[in-house]
Amino acid sequence: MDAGEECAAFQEKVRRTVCISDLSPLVTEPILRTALDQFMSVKSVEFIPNYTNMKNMPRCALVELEDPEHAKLILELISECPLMIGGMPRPVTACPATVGMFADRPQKPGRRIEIQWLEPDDPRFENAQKLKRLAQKHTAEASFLLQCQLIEEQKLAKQHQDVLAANYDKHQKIDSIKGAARRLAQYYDMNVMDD
Amino acid sequence: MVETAPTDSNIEFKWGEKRSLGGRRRDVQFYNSFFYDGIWYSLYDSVYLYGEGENEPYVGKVIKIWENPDKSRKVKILWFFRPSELENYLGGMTILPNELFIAVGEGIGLANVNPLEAIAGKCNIVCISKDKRNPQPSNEDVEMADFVFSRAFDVGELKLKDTIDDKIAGLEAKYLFNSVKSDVDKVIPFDKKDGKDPASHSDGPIPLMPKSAHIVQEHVKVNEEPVDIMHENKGISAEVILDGKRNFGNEGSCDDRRPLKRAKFGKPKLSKDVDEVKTATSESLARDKSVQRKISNTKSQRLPCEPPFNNDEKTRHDLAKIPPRLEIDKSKWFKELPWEERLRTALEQGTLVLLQNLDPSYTSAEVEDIVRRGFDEGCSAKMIQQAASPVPHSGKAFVIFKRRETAEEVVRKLDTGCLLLPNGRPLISTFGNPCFGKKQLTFAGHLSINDPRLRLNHETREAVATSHCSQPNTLEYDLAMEWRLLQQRSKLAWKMLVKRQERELRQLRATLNPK
Repeated sequence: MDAGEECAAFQEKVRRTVCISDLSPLVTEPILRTALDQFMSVKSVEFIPNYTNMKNMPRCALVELEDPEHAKLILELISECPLMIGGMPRPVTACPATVGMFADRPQKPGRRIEIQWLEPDDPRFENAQKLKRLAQKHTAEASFLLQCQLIEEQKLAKQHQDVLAANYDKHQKIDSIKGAARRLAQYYDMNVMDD
Repeated sequence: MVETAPTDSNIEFKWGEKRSLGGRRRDVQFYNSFFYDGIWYSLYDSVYLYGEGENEPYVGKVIKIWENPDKSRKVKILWFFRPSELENYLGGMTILPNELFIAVGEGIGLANVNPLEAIAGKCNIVCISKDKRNPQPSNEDVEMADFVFSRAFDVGELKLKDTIDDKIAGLEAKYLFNSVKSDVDKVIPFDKKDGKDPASHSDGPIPLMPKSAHIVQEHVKVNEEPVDIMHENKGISAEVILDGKRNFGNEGSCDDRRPLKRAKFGKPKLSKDVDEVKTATSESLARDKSVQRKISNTKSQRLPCEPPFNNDEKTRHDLAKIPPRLEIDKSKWFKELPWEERLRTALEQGTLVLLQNLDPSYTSAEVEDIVRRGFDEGCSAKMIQQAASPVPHSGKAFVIFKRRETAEEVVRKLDTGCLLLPNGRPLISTFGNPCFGKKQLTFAGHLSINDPRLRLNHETREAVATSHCSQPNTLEYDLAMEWRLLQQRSKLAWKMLVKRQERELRQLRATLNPK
């Protein structure tokens, strides 16, 4: 296979792959596989390693399907109804895979990367330094946004958890006083236990 | 008379002098010598043999050479053991750094038959035994030797022996000792082989010549040709790269037309690794089998042309200036550790650098290339896979350098200087700080009820382990919708951020290339 063909094959692979994100770190390949196998047959699953030092980062995985059409269908399905994998109620999200998500991608044939060291007296040097600072600023911004997003997620999760705990508590309490409640209802001739 | 046997894979091969016919039907032809891949080998030469996946080549002595009726070429090899292979039997014995032990006795591991093609080169071994039968080597001989031996390992009794018996594997001991003149291997350079040189091999067929006579004749001939003797030493030095103590002083003078061989010899040395050596101990006695198995692949392993060393290198100093590309190639000769493992080590050693502001479509190899051209340093790089909510215009890569100083230098240079990549991307670097997060056990957004009474509830467990599409008439559906809302909001936030960043970048880049 020459470089061009390899590249084309890779592009094809990118098209039939979807990136599933918002996955729990407990989700393993077999779990993900079975989760999606009920819709489309899954060819391969690859988790994207995460080296950022943020806590509570959801995981992402690349799921390769048989056909680009299947990939589209899966994307539609996941966006339409909330698919929950390995836990409730946070649904997973899916997006089309991009080249940057793959670890082993073929080199674009014929691409030659020109590099040059700019001397400090180069007229472009100043602007290049500015670009550098801008890029650094952007990285910082992105990392801040990610942090905000994670905090928001934490908040929502906590809120849900609290609601659940409260509801559970309420039901437990109702259960525990069921006998007394029935007797009181009889006494006042009321119907509280309609179930 | 030199017979040219059918060669495969373009490796040059010739038979040398014939010996007797053998085998049950007298259809096996024995030989005294042969020419393979640029070197004449004779009976009782010490040779390196390659085993696939082995760090160090095996060392052995050729004690029989023959061709089967099916034209397969075989050699019988009497083995030398490395001390690392005999760790369990050495006790506290003092061992010279380049000492080997010859296999004696009866049993597995003494000698076995290998395809001739498994031979990877000659090896210069000197016997330093004080035995009367052993012609004492000169100091120079010992200096020049790749290995020395004086003791033996009995493969039957699994014991070390200080003396060498009269016969080993049916071979008289005198062939094991240094021969009268010198045991230095004779290497015939290419430019000689078609000319006058192979006189020794064109004397016509000398069938049934007694062994000893043959040996004497060999050495007489060596003397007749002083040119060869000069070449001898040089040729040996080419093979000596294996021995770490030697330097590359003579490297340049050896036959330049055999770079392949040298590259090959460099190979095993580099990966001497304690663990591997230990496993070798247990394997060593079962070697008969493993060698057979491995050797079948040997040839294909040797053939791919490793990039040759620069032929004009004269000194060790020059050697250090081999283009870094070569260093990278060398490192690929060995099985690489898993990337994560390497990241961890690199992080500990401070050799890990995070490059940013790369084009996300670059491949790891391209990043390595950029570093090589930009800094003249070899490295191994890996693009970081972008997750789902990325900033699509910027790629990152981890780069592992060989030394901490290099990494520091690169970071410093990129900080003060400016390396411009295409599309107005100045390269940015920081020390990498990957986080190998401990396995999280909880996940924000997956609810659980903390009630010990529910532990054994079947339904709860099932719900966690499986997946489902939530239906709109459930409670979880409402919660899921809240998540969806949050997800959409985050997505929008990223989109806006990326849009703004790209606009800023565009504006600034425009000033970079004023038209």
